[in-house]
Amino acid sequence: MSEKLINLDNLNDDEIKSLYEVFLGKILMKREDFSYRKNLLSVLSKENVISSFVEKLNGDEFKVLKFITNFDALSNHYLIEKISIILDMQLFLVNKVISNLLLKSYIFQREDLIIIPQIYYEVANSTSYEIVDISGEIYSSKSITDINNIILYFITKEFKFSNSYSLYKKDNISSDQIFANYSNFDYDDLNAISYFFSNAFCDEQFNISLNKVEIFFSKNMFERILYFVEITFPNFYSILKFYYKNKQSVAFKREDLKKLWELTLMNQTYTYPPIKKDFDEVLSFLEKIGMIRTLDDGRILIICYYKNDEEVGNGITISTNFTFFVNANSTQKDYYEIALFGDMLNYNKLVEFEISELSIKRSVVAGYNYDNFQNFFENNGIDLPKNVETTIKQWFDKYGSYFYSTGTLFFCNGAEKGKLIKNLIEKDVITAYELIKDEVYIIPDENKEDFFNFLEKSGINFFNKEAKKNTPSRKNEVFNIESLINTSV
Amino acid sequence: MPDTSNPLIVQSDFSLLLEVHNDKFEIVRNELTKFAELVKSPEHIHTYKISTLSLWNAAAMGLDVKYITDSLINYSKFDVPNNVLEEIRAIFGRFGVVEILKYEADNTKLILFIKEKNLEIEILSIPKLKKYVTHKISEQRYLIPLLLRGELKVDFFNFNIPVNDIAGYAKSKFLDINLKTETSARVPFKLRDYQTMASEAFYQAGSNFGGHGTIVLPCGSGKTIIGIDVITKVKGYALILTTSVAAVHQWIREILDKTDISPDMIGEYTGDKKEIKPITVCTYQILIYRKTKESDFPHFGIFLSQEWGLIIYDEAHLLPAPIFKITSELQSVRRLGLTATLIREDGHEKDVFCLIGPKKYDTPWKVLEKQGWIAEAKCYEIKLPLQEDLVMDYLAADQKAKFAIAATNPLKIDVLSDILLRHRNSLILVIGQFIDQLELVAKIIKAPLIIGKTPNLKREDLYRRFRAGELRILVVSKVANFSIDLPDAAVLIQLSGTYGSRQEEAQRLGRILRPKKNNNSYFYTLTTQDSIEEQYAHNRQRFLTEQGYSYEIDYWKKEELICRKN
Repeated sequence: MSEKLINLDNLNDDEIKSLYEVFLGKILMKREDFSYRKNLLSVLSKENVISSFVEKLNGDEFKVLKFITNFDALSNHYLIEKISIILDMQLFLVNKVISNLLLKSYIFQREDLIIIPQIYYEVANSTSYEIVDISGEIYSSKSITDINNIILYFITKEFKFSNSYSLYKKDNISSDQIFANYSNFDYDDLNAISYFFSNAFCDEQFNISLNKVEIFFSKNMFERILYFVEITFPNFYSILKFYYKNKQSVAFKREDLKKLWELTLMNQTYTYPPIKKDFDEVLSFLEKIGMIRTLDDGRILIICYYKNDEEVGNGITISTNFTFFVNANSTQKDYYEIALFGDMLNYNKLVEFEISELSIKRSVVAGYNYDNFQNFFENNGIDLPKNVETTIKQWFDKYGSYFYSTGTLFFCNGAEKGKLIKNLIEKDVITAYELIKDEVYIIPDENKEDFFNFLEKSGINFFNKEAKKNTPSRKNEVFNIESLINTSV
Repeated sequence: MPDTSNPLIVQSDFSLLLEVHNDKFEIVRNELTKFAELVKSPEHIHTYKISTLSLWNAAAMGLDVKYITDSLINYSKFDVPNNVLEEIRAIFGRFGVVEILKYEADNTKLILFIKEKNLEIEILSIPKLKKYVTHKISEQRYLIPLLLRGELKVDFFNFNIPVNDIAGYAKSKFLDINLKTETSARVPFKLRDYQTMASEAFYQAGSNFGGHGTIVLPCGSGKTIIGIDVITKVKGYALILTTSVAAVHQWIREILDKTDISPDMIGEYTGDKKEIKPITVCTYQILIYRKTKESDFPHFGIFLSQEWGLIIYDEAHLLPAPIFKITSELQSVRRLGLTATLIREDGHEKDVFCLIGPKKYDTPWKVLEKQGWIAEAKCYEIKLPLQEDLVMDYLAADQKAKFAIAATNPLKIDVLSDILLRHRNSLILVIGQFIDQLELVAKIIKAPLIIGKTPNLKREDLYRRFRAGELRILVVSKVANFSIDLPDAAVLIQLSGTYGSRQEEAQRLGRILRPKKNNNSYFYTLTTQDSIEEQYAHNRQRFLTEQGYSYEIDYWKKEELICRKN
């Protein structure tokens, strides 16, 4: 392998010293004007010095070091996972390699960063691309219809996902049975969607935030698929965002795009582990959902879409036997509500749902009540058959009559203070339940944020007797790829 | 060409959704019944399914594949998925490739003829099928024992290979029997259109393509008449299997009333009598009777006692397992299954299809109702609270006991009394599951009771008097669930049922569906509110709501109930 221009600028003095000792050993006595940096630079510039040390590494260490040399510093956060994906190595092996390299002082750890001396290998050139003039493309893919409905299906099933946000085998099989007939997605693709679902809508315990689901369904179809890419392949989203900003469709040679993908993956900060898909698998999925296309010459076309504002209604037809059909490609914002009270029986052009006692029980637990249910059908112009209406009302009543809540106790110093809070509750401005008249309220966990935000905004002061824990946001920052891109062909 | 004004939606999973409120509904429905199975027919959208079986059946009836694909394309609202069209062609292509033919040299054997070499190789590679192709007699032809005819068809079907059985039927003794043009009471008699169509769909003018199959029609639509018509077409000795002694007597009555056969030609084979005649009617129960679990079935000999030309399985969905087994050995006899519901809670509908025959004819309940052939039924579910002093017992009980407490809620009797008053001029059946409850009810309302241990003669007498209008109310247990013809019963009050049995619900409704003067019938089911019985009731109603019936729900509060004095 060729020698390269040595650059130690990214190392601090301690690191320089450690690196010096790797190559030349400890200095027991040194002159006053001795400089580790200067001396190290001088030694490293000699022929074969670096290569002789690199040759001491085993195959895996060599492989990893060669790759990470592309960067002068990397976040330690999910570093192992990223390298594992790119180099197709097992996690424990990558972990072992990084530990060894740190131990041997070939690389250094500085708080959250891994610092890589820029001495080992040639750094890869930045990538190039060609702008392709294909204007006016409206996003249109059945995949987003499939994704919308799979999301609904996951909501109805209340699946728990694995640590890697995949479906457990039995859940994957049952999902595949529902969707195999009409969806473009296969067994593996469902895991990508479960990954998206977990990170977009769920907390660590896989409790679904209906607010987040609602926000997703309020987007148009194109915005939804973009959001899907943002959550599932955030590094690829960075690439998209750059070109979309410039309203450019671009074609990459496969190897160039791969390089870019790797660079962005390594630079992308994650609040959850990156999805375990290699470059080819990611491309295949993106092609399936219509975000890229393979050209005849083998280049990959990233297509710049315009929004798709096409609107398709729910088109609900309900029967006395508690089943109803809905247009699968509905773009209505309230489409997701169906999952709150119905169970998906069959997915096809028309999706078949059934309302059952269990689905209503689930609905009640999700905070849906009979009024919500009735409003949904009224808004969709549906008169419920009498027996359906009566029975469902009864089910809501059966499961909604008793409930318990976990929350935060809020104490008011005196009845006068308490009455203020009560007033706000009655006006529906904040949510809490009165425990002791005018004195103690309990704020349900899901209403806590809004409750305190309101009090703060209103200038009502309060304090917390316990220490607060900071819960980090689960949203990834979008990485700016500008520095990685050559603007000329 | 897809046309959004068309009523049909073809889905990629082979389900077909048909919009009811569309001008072309009737035309398309008539087309679909030729090659698709009706799954459910609630009021806005009917669901059909194209299956291997339905396509196989269509092929057996002489339909060609282009007719089917053209129908789908012409009536579809949207593009028909390509996979559906391709798969239909592929499945169709399989029909007729394997045949069972007669072997003239030995009537205990048949020829299995596999027309395609590739398929022969495939069959030889499947261990479960290989056992049938061991005795090769010539190129692609194998000899199989006669007794394996049924079993072979089931096994091949399970591997998606339809076997076209054109070996024909064994010769039976001739029976000269014809339909009369008027009944014994001199009332003009002829078959209704759908009865003729059903009978012809089964018989297929006597060809080997016909003669085995199931007819699915609502209760009260006259399936017995269809069975009788088939007997007159076959003109061979006939064995009729049915569910109870009362049903046996009913068959005998109808045969004598509608045909020119003399009474000495009909035999009853039951616990009371053991007559084997050219037409013999027997119960399933007597056939599957045996002393111990290890003993043989002593009455199975009836199947071999005559050269039967036809076996009719009444209420085919109730076939007990031993009957399936013997039926698989009777494939050289014409076999007709009659039923209103093919639902089995154990899901063995396919066995009925394979061993008796595929569904040859069906019609949605509501269509016959619209045409006036069955009465219009108004269904009510009356929910009432549990008697207060039983609430604690209920809460503390296990599931089974909870159901019993809820089902036998004493307050039901008060509701019952009220309903009886509302329909004081109608013939009423009160039906239930729990004998104690029925005995109490019969005592309070002073009505006769029929339960399992009621002697047959007494049952017959009570049914006769009810038919004649001498008795206005009958209290019955589940012995009256099916096969009992009480044409003028207009009201049925269900106090309790067998857990969530959809089949039982449908059969009970069937007791009041015979067309009558004002053609309205009333079906009341009483359930205890907020109880496990309510959950079961919801499941029970599923089949009927899928047929388009809706239940009106009425809540009876405590204050509205009349206090019953002990």
